[in-house]
Amino acid sequence: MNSRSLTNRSWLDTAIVLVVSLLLGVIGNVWADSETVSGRSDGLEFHRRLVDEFVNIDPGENGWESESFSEAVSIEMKSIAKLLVHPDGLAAKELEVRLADGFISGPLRFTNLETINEGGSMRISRPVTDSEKTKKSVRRGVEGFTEALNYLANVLKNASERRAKFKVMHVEVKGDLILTKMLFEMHGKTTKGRRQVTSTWHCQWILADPPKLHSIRVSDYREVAPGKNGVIEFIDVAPALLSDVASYREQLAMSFDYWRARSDKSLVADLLGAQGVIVGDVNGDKLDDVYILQPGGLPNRLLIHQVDGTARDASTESGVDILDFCRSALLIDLDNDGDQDLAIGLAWKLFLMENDGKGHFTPRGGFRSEGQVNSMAAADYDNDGDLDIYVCGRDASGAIKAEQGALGIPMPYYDANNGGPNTLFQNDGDFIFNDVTKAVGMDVNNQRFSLACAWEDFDNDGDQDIYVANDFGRKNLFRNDEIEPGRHVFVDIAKQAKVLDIGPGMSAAWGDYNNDGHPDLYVANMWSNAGNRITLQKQFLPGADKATRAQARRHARGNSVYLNAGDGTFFDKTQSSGANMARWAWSSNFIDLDNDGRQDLVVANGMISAGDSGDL
Amino acid sequence: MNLNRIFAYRKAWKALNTMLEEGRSYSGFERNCAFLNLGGGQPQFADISGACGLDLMDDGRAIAVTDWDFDGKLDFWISNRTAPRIRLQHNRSQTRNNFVSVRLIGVSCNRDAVGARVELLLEGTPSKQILTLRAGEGFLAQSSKWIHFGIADGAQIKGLKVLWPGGKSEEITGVEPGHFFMVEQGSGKAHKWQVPTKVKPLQTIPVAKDIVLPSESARIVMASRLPFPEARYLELDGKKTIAVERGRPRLINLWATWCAPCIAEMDSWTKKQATLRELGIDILALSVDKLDNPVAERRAIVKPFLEKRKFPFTVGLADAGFLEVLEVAGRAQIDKYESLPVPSSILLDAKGRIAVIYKGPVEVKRLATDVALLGATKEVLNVEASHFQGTWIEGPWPATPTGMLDKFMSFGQPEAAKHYLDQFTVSGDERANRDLAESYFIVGSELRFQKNFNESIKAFAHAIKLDSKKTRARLELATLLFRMQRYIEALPHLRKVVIEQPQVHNTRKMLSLSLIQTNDHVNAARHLHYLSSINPEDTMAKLWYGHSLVRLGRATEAERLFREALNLQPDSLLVINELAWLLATHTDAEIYNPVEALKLAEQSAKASKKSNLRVLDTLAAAQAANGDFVVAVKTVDAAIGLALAAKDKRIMGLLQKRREGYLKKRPYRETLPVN
Repeated sequence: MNSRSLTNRSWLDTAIVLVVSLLLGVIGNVWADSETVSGRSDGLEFHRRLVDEFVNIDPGENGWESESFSEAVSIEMKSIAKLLVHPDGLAAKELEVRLADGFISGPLRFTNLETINEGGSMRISRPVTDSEKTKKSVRRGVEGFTEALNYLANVLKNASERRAKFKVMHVEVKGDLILTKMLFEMHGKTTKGRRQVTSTWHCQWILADPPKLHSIRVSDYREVAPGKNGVIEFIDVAPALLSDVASYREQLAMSFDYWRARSDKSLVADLLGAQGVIVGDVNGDKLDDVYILQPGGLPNRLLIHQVDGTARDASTESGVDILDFCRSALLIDLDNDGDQDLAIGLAWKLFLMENDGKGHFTPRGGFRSEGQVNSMAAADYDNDGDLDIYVCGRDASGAIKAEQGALGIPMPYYDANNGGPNTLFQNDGDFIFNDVTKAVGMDVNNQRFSLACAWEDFDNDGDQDIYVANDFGRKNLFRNDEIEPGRHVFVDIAKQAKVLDIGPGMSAAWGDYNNDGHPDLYVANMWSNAGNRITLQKQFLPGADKATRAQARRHARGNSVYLNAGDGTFFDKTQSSGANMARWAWSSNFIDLDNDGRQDLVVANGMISAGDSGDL
Repeated sequence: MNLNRIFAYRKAWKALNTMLEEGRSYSGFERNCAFLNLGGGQPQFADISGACGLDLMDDGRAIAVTDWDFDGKLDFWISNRTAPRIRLQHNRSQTRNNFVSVRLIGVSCNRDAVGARVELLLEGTPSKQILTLRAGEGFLAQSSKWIHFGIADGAQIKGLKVLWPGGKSEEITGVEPGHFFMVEQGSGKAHKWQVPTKVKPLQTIPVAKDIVLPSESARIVMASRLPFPEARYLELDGKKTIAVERGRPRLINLWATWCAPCIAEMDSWTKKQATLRELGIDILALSVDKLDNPVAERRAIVKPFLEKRKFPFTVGLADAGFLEVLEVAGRAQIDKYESLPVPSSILLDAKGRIAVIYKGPVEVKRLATDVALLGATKEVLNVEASHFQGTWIEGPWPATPTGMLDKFMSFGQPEAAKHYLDQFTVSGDERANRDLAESYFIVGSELRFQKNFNESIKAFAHAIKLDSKKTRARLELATLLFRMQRYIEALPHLRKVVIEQPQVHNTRKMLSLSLIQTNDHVNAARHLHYLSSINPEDTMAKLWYGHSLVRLGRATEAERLFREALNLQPDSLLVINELAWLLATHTDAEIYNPVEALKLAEQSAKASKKSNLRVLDTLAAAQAANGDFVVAVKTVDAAIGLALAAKDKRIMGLLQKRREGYLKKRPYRETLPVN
């Protein structure tokens, strides 16, 4: 019923190019003039050439045009994925138009598999050798391809909920021949449980419209199936658990966008939908309850775990149905009286509420944060017996923005230090918290775009250190040093500990994943398809040296895995870990999924999914 | 800093944000991941996302881990951006592995024992499992205070140790697999905690598809109000009229003759016109029929239609310009803007501010309650603007004009943005003034970017009027004025910026040159002295310092400075010319040196290919000083030719005067003070 499109959309295409550029910080670096780049006091030199290139970059010559090719390939692969999901309709006719003359393919599925994790809860298997890459397994032409696809689809024989997907990782243009590297994944639910296939497809294409597939080679083939020792499986039980909870149906079941389209901007003012969730025992019955943060105009929800296993919405009676924009909160005993009080991150304030022991909360005032509050974490940093709170302030307040002139936009993109300050609030009793950030030396490197933080005694010296995950730049690892009895200061040792992790940091988690008694670190960064495709191309930054290209590429490389060396430093195990490609990651947590005593990982994902055409 | 670059960058961000606000996808449709730890000394992880069913596509955000139903397996709550915004992922894994779970009670450390490190030792293996009790980790999340250890099939517990915050380690006895335990600091013992027997297993029910309802119909109440921008609609006779009419509330309505709900809505208003008049509300119904057609054609459609229906309120035509302003306002006020449907209405209060935006038809009853709300207190409006009952702590963020002007600028209309800002006057609220100053600064920068310098200057000037401490705006203003050679206006601002930022040499240079241009050589010399002593290599500082000193009667020092500058930059025309002029024209015999002056002037004339007016002027003066008046006249004629071409009347007058002197065989001598 829309009268007509009221929008002038001509700038939209330009904007898309700009967005891809932004992923890489291409435009971001135009800020970087000589003063910003040279003469760093900390000795961390960004490659001068990278900066120059970013300033002068020409999209036409740096690989953007192959993005359109990547799109064309994606369309082709989408139909092949469709065929894999519905193999009954696998007709030669459909494939014929997609293949170039002389099409040749190696095996798409391997059968001579070995189990990597004998006795594990899931069976992960891979090809024993590459022996199947013999002449015998070579497939030619449409018939050969049909046969190979059918054989691959057969992994999910009789399975329901089938899915298959290709992701274009890398495009390289070589004259009329185009090489692509794609991630392939396929899932389905069989009678014996869910099965999953992942592999990498290396394809050659003949340049045409649409492009024609010329050859396929598959590597990194993995199958995942229920193991001898059992199966790992999760299912969302909220709809059943909360079926009688009105706020679930009326509020939480609706997307963020639903509310945004109905809200005065001054209520919500955020499209990220980054609202947290915390669990804690609110009424002392040892059962975990859950507190769900909501954007402005929608009241936070407190769901109390009942003895019979159900959950009851007690937000209003508990006094915690706050309508203000809130990102995060903590349930902690702030006054050591044996119950869980609430520390709530309002947009610009740490707001405190005292628990009467039965789950009723009374406001106890708040303390201003000059950074817009994101994650918070509590620990007793000075070991004086009460909990102090570290607050990540991602964006700078108006007052700060007005002073520093960057208009609040991260600059420079790859190493922004013009965000909001983080604050360490020291518990001084009776719900009084004092900002001790400066006094403890945490005011260095402190205007980063911090999204998350996590405390841990990483060096096992008896006090709590903290890792801070910053967007658009380097991270902080503040080591806690007791310089005299009871007096603690922090030193940012991210660089010497080798966990600087320059990139778009989203989340931080500690966990001893090799069970050696030293906590290791998992840091979420965004993994961007487009970013990888562009930066991996030879024509990206033509002539740039290896280090420079590596630095550009790093911005889209994904999550980082740091193994604690036990000597105050870490080994970067990202590339060999297998937990690197975790997409556009947000909360990334260690969790023992199958009770085998090893720390596994779960990663929340996705930036903005919207119902329109073409994801950026 | 390069302002243009910053603004190009800023624009890219704006473009991205606008696009996302519009509902574009951006790295969306990504599935959650799960990685299984494969064990060993340097374990690798295997992607099991699809196989374990965790790979949902939700725009996931925070993850809070808990064994919610005490079945000995870790579940987690996850918050999402898309629907549903919360899930409880229940662990249905079937393994032969076991677990043990403990909750700590601090006594001498913090009561929650946050920061405590728990170590689980197993028989027959040197490795141990460690877990730390944390309050807050991941992103925006806090996990359970129950500390949960998985115990692989067949493994036996050797012992459990707690390292309490502060450093004391304690062996805990009495822990066995498959149970939950409470451990109090100092007790050395674990006490078994019994799961309430009533806890029922968690069920699953089939879930309907994600609920994403369209927003064709919505009532959006503004918590705080901003003026509706100045927009003109067309009266039926084609006259352009401002849509805002202050003094009483007005409902601006969009409708079309082909839109059935619009007609129903208008008929209901016609029927209840008495009620509406009693409410004191005025309706302006703007047709969007055949937007691009000539007014006469549109009138021909609308007029008979209305006459037939006897619509008693003001009627007009919306045109593309009006709709664009409407869109600016909508984008500024609604968090996720979607093109307004017809009918849509905007309720303005008596001050012309946007109070409520309606997508879809509005009933008279609703209008009556909303008109009554126009005078409501802030607290009432905050509640009205919220979707559900709840408690405001701070309240919504007050609306500022910044949002509106941002949208104007993304529509490429910085002048309209400035015009919008101009209705906000300096108020007593310092913070509001500061915000407004920032807005003017942004608009000024944008106008400068578009080379609309005069309006840009006005915007910057307004910014510092609102916030005198806004040095960035003052510097931009001063720089613009300086570049436009409006030195007298630039001076006071440059002075202030230099006081506020004494270390920025570029500002001081601009100040010095402006002082020279306004013949304030005393102060110019002061700043230039500072600049040349800070950086002895700065040729230009030396040169201009000398230039001022000559005019202060300190020619000897000036000559020394010029010669130092010449040493630094032997090829600089500016330096050579300044020195040659001094030597050729100075009255002091100690300095007067026609021979060297001529040599230098000839050198620079040759280098500039006799195309530089000032160099030729100097050359003529040097030639005259050496008694070669015929040549001097020729040279000065060439200079006059250049001045003519440049239409520089002032210099032409000077040159003419000198020419007369040369004709009378009188060399030119500067009349300057002598010390």
